[in-house]
Amino acid sequence: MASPAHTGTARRLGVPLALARPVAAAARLVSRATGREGGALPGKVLLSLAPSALATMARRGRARGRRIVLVSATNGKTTMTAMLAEMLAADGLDVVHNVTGANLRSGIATTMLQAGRRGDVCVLETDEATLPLVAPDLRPDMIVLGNLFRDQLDRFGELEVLADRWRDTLAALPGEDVTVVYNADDPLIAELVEEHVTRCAADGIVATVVPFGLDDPDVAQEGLPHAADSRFCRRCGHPLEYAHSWVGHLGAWTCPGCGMTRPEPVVAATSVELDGLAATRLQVEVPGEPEALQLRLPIPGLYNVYNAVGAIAAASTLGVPGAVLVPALAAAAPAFGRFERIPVPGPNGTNGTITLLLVKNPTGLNEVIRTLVASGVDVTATLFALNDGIADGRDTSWIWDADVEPLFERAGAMVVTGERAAEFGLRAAYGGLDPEGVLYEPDLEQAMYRVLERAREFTEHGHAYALVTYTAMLKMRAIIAAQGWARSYWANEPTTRRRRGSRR
Amino acid sequence: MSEPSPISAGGRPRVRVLHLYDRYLNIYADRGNMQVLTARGAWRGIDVEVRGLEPGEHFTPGEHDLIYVGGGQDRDQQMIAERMSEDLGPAIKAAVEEGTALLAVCGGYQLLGSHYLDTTGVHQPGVGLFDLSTEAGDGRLIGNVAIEAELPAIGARAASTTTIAGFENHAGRTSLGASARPLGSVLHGNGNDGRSGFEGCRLHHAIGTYLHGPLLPRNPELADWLLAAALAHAHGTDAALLIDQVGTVPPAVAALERRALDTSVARARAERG
Repeated sequence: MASPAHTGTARRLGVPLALARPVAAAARLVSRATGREGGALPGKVLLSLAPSALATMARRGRARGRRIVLVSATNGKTTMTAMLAEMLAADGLDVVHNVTGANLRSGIATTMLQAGRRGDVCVLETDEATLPLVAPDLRPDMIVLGNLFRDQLDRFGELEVLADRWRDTLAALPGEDVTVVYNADDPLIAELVEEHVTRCAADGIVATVVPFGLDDPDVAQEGLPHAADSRFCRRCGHPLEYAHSWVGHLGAWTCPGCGMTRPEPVVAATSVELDGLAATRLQVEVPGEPEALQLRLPIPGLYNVYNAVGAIAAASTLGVPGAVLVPALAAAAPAFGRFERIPVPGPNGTNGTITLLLVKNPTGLNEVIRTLVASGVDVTATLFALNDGIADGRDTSWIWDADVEPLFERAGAMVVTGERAAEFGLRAAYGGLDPEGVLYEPDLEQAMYRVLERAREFTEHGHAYALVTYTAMLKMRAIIAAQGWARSYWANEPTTRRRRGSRR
Repeated sequence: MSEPSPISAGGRPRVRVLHLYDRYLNIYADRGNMQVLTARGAWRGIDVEVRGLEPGEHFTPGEHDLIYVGGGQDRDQQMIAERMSEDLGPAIKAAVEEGTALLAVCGGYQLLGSHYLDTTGVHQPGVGLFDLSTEAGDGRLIGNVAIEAELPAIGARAASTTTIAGFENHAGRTSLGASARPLGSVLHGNGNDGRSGFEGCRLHHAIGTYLHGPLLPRNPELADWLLAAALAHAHGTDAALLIDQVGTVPPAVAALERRALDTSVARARAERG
């Protein structure tokens, strides 16, 4: 990994930002004209010409009062960032946001480059391994830490290593300048934030930290799932005990060994009601609000409750009042490929749908399946697309750590596709699906047609569900766009949004 | 060929599998390896019973037919390394000597050597089953890997040479001692240390390897060899033949296995040349 402490040398080597900027902008035009999504290339060009560009853009923005919020997590960061951006925009702020999910150094540089002098606040989704690389340059006003689940071990190394890097990232920032909003239910994160608080105190600084979490035992898991990552105390190694757990290893935890325990969440969802795939109702306690906020999220899943509570904690800390954030969240659309329901015109005027569900690690897959199963929808027509590109994770073992069996029981058959289709076919056959029910079709487009045929055969309106890894999602989206069923995803740009009536 | 020898109580042959420290060593889809053994047993009318073992517990050599040791995150592995070598070292060695089959993957493989020197210079004791030692090196060896391995004869069941493919992700470089025999030679990828061209280690019916993915779904020949070795331990050498003579793997599964293995080998070839 590159050292973040490069600014001095880089400034000598690089060209001035003013010269690098037009070249990078040209790169954007080229990449768009050639049909690439254009999310990262301009930033890549910019950083190669002016390696200190991130620090420079952040510093100039700061001088004008523009704040920077970095949002990171292994799971849900795209959704959480989108929710936060939505609430801040609803409050009248001019928000700069990497909408397309280009969350590496180059993507963040692209977003800031395009924003230019604009913006009251940059809300930047940040890849978990990238956070340590960009935080020293960006000097964020706020960092939101969502969760740490086992994800792409081939790329990141082990989870503990990532937690160590996050700890070092906080240690390298001036403690008085950064507010840390964090998931108290994740013991790995809670421990590293506690270290941050202790270290600041030793320097005579009172760190500003905002723990968030869940507090509704009615929607707790029966026990920790197989893929739960943080079963042991990071500090003393003793097995953790949970009064309740909600998603993976997130829960009300305590360590009988050293006595460390979940910090009391300051912003907490005290009541959660899951309403199928359509919506989630929740009640959230927020300091400063006279009453608990009553919210309706138009997206399913308990993991999205965590995303919402984290985003609310960040937004309310930044001054967004409940009266503004409640309606803003009610309008939140699912992020690209996350329970995204796409209408598919069928024969004889039928109107079917295909719902895209991005999956990328055991916990994400567990939660998607849990949400599907709990919703009671007919999953007879289900497809699984497994690719093993770098963005998917080259190591496909994670599919064996997820609890896919409840889906196999209900689906009865599955279309398996993607470059590693056979691996998932084996996962299904060994997971109890009748091997004859494994419909092997490595070509994504053909596989989509097959699952839609099956949908029309078995379900009343022809509803199909597609669980897909990242690069398979991009390809599937392109096929869907070519069919004219949905817009290509970068149609959601521009990367900044503006609301009338600036607060400032 | 003569009929296999009589079968265990209840009329069905039985294989008893011990999954060591299953709550700690389970990172790379080790559960998938268990599912494969259970299902491939069932397709042949064999009951595969899996039980776990907690740190602090002991077992008696010979009371299981197959021992499985999975991989853990570095930290989990550190926590149990000492425990395993002290509590279970002699039992594991005695079990393998008297014919128990064993599969150790990734971290589990490292733990069965003489020692592991981690990145911080801490010396972790090993079980000493395999004559090998491991030291953490610069950077992890990560990627698809394919090896050629010889699976020895078990009684009348013939030896075979087979291509095994998996995914490796390890910081440790493993050096085989003078008396150790590798599991196979690397076709594409790093293997034990990225230099020697060796992958894994085999002693009697015990196999250690860095290959996960998980290992057994895409390498059915190896899965069947382990089941044959376990059957031989449970019911006498002739019972190894049961795996080839009784029942069949569903053709749809066999087809998927071929494709999964071919893709893995092709990936390893493309990545490493």
